[in-house]
Amino acid sequence: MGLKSASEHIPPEGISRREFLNRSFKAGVSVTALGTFLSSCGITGQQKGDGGGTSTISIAISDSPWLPSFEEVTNVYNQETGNTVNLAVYPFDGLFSKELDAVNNKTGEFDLLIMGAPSLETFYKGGFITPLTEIDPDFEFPPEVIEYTNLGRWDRETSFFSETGDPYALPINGNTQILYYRTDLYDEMGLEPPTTWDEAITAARQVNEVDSDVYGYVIRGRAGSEIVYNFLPVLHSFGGSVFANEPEDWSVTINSEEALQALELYRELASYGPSEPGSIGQAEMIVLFQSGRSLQNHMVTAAYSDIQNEGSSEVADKVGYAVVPRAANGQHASMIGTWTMGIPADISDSQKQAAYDFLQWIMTEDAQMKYGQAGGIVTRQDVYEALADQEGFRWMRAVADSSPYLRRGVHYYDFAVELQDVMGQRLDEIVSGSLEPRQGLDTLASEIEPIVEEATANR
Amino acid sequence: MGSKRKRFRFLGRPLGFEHWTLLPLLLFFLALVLYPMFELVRLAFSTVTLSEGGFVSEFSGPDNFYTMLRDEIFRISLLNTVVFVVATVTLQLILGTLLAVLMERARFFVALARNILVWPAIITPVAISVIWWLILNIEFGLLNYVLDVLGLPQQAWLASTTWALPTIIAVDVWHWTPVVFLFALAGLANIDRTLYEAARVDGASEWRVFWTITLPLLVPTLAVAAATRIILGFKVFDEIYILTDGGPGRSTEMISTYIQEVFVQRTEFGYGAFLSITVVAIVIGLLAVYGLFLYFLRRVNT
Repeated sequence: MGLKSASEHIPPEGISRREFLNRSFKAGVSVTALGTFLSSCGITGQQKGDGGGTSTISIAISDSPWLPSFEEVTNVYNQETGNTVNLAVYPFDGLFSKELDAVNNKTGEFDLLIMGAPSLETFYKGGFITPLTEIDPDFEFPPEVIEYTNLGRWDRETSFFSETGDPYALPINGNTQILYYRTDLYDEMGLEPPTTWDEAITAARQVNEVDSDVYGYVIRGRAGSEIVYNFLPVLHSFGGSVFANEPEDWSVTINSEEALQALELYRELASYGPSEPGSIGQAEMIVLFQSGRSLQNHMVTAAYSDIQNEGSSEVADKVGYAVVPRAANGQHASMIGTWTMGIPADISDSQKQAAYDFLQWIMTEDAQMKYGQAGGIVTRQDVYEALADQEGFRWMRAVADSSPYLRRGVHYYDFAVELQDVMGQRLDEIVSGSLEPRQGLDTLASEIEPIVEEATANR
Repeated sequence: MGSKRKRFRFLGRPLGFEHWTLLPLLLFFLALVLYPMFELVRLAFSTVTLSEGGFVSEFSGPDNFYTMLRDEIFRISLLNTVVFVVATVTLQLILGTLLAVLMERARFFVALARNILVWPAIITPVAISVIWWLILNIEFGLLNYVLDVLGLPQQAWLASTTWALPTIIAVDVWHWTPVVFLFALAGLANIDRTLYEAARVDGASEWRVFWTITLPLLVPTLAVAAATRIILGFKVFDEIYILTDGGPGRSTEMISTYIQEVFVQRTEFGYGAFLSITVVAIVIGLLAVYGLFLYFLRRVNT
């Protein structure tokens, strides 16, 4: 009879150590695994509100230049109301997919969504956003809030932005385009800030007489959405357009005589800039201006914070702002790059109310003043007027003066990616000289037609 | 004598402790691998449309396949990707092996050199891309500044449809050659030194030693390195996204960046899913061909 091994030792109560360990391990691991599996399938979401009269809401937002000012104003809201606003910050290009995933899967993760081009139509069309009148039947747009070409209103019948559409969202970042120019160089040349493209070109021609290292005009010529966004105000200022009159008439008009004139002017502007305009994106435009190598260009309002930043800009105290110039016989045009804020449809009624309360608060004059003073791009006309003459806020005068000329560009349509792909390609070829303007515009028109035909078939 | 414990059986075989411990892994595999793969394949043969209340998927058979056949951008991105993978893997294998051979023969500052050589592979791809964007920028990049100082013509680099792809390839080679270098260095360490001594005693030149002894014995290691780089080459994204975003034009559009555009920007989930499984099939096919090539190479050698 041999000795039993330790693993075969059988205690008096009838279960071996090995068997005990087996059963414990199976139970522990399986329960842990099952629990992990089930929790990962579960709907995420916070326990919001403490039931004591205060609320907690979550806002999805991108990590963009205006984030710090938005954080500051939400802190003010928290202090004034006792409520809590949590910001879920995502990379700029990742915000849309995060928000879409949340609303499509009805996770209830966010109580407010910040939406921009071109995702806005997707959210409206998909029924992912709650009409504000569903929460408050008496809701009306505050009269001083700029509506940015009815970006917050959606007509379900025409499937388009409309003055008569239901209110779905409010503008939270009033990004538009303005002209940035060097006040010192303009003074040296004895010129007034330009109001027309001809005046801008006059300055562009003369600037090398006072500073040979400065580009007379810099365009945002990188192929794709960038050159499209940069060209559109020029196009509209000549009376041209991409489509005849959307949504009633989607006929392609990009190859009109007005568009040709606009394009030729745009090519001339490009000739006063870097030799490879296709290499210039928004970041490059900002750096060229900051480093004092650009006399003037039209850019988004949000760029002002970089241009006025004394730590990184050599021209922080030499920059002037104006409305984007127009054609001699045309009108000004400023393309919006506005972001809106809407309430998802998949959250509870109490959360919708809490989110609506925040929206109402942030649209007040007092809140917008604080937002603007913190550096935010406000959306109330009266706030722009009030701050415009203060030191550090001179850019607001240009924005306030641009309000009558706001235009909604093609980047807000849900087929913007395909559209800007072909437009950006052809515009880049025309500006670089590899395609003649007339031929290029005709080619572009023929390429846009099937895209818009397919996209608007069900509108 | 007590009764025997009853055991579960599966396919006639009793399940023991060793089988039960696989249960958590099986659950994770089902939930996090098989189910997503099934959904991806299902989406690939569906059309996903946006309607009130959300996205709705509807079986559409081979429609996405026909769309892919007509898609010129897909063809361009696939061609760019193949060119990119072939160029980068080839250059990385050559440079990585060369560096490893030189490192093996080095006598001074070996540890320091080995550490510095692997730095590019340690730095996150996003940081690498930003660094190179600053170097290659046409207006204020370091490289054009140096060319200007030397009296040489400045280049468009990332802004040129001709030079953008070769520039991206150069950046990727710089970034990932250290990985191949490490593979090769490990492979060299396993080669029996007596083979070298015997060859040198017989009067073989250094080149002959490398060609007839070192390289053949390194092939298995380099094969693994190449397979790894091929798979990762098809997945390249960060460098493209930051340096060129697929431009200028579509000259640096890769299949990964194009799928991202289709999925995220265009929200064409069905078509994006089909492109994804197509790429998986292509990579598996390439690796299978590569495996067969190595198999026949080994048979020829033996």
